[in-house]
Amino acid sequence: MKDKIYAIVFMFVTSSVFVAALSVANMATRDIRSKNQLVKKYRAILKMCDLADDNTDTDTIIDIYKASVKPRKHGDIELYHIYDKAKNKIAIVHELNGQGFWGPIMGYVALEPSGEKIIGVSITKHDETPGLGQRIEEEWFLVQFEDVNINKEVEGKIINFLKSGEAEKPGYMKAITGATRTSDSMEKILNDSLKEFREAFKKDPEGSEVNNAS
Amino acid sequence: MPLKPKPKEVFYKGLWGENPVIRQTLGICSTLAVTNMLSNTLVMCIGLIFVSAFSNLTVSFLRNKTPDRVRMMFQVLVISSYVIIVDIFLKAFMPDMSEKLSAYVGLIITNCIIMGRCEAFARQNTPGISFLDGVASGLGYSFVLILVAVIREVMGMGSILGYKVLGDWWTNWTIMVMPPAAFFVLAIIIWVSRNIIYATEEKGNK
Repeated sequence: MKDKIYAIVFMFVTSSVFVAALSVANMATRDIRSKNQLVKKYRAILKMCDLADDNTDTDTIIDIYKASVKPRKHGDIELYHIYDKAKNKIAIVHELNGQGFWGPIMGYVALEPSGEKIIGVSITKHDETPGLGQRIEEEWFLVQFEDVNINKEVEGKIINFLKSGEAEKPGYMKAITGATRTSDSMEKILNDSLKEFREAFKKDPEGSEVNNAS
Repeated sequence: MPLKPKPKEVFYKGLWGENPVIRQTLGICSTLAVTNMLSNTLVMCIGLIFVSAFSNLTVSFLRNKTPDRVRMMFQVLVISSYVIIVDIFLKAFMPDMSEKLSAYVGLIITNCIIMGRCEAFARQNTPGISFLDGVASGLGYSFVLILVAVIREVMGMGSILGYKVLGDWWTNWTIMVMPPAAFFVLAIIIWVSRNIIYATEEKGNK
């Protein structure tokens, strides 16, 4: 009986010590982790609009974001209006969010202030296979979407990827070799997001102010 | 009274003589999962060495106080705590790497090497030598992972740590970044290594 009680007390005490230590570590780094998440989002948006790059330090990213980015409500969706130093609107950014092959894929798409052409696409989170689906974050893949007119559709879609073995043709983009499911997911995510943007922007191009914007 | 293990012997066994991956076929899951890119592999290895060494140290430190009936629960508590510390550290100070490794860091908890060393060594030896054993086992694991990663990244992407090492003449072997290649490369490394070890042991016996 004594042994059993000792075992219970031992586990209780050691568990408490370790949980306390982990709580301290968690609290000590909570601010920096939250900041990292925010900075990642800010950097992705600013990079697409050429307002920052990978070497811009964290504090500068935050300053540029606060000065240049204004979230606006357009119906049910929120868009980010981007301004340059002279307060001219240079882009509008919409979130990308959908199911990839292994998990969710998230990112942003930037469009011209007219809402017609894509300026850039950025991927901020995914769980796709390293070396295969992961290539959706590579420049050669993302640069394909620049200058795409979202008012022009081919076979009912704004973004179309070539199928395996197909020769290159106008209006179609290169998918990722060996990552068919990820490429299909990206095609769906981009099309859904761009159609959602197009509809909301058409109804209300200017949008309204957002309270408690982040 | 059992002989105290010598540091040199402990180090050699962990690194090569009783290499956890080559000789004991432990830690295979992560060997296959993270070795398609060397950068991911290096971070994983450092994380594992840290967890292995400090888990061994902690288990050894409390070995005379730990009741037998709860020793495994305690070991899992210790190992998972150190893994969470690694995860928190990566999220705070290396967020990009944390994104790439995400689920794999948590899998360090289930890596048989760490639990195996805690149970087989740290419970019976003093903290100092146990810490060294943890480091040696981690290094032995790292040696194999880095070898697999170099082969896979060079042949699969023509690069090492993202830097191009093969010219345009090289056609990337896509299969090298896919899971089957990890099986093939690891199997070949184990086969070659064991033949070297057996030949050395035979020579020593003659």
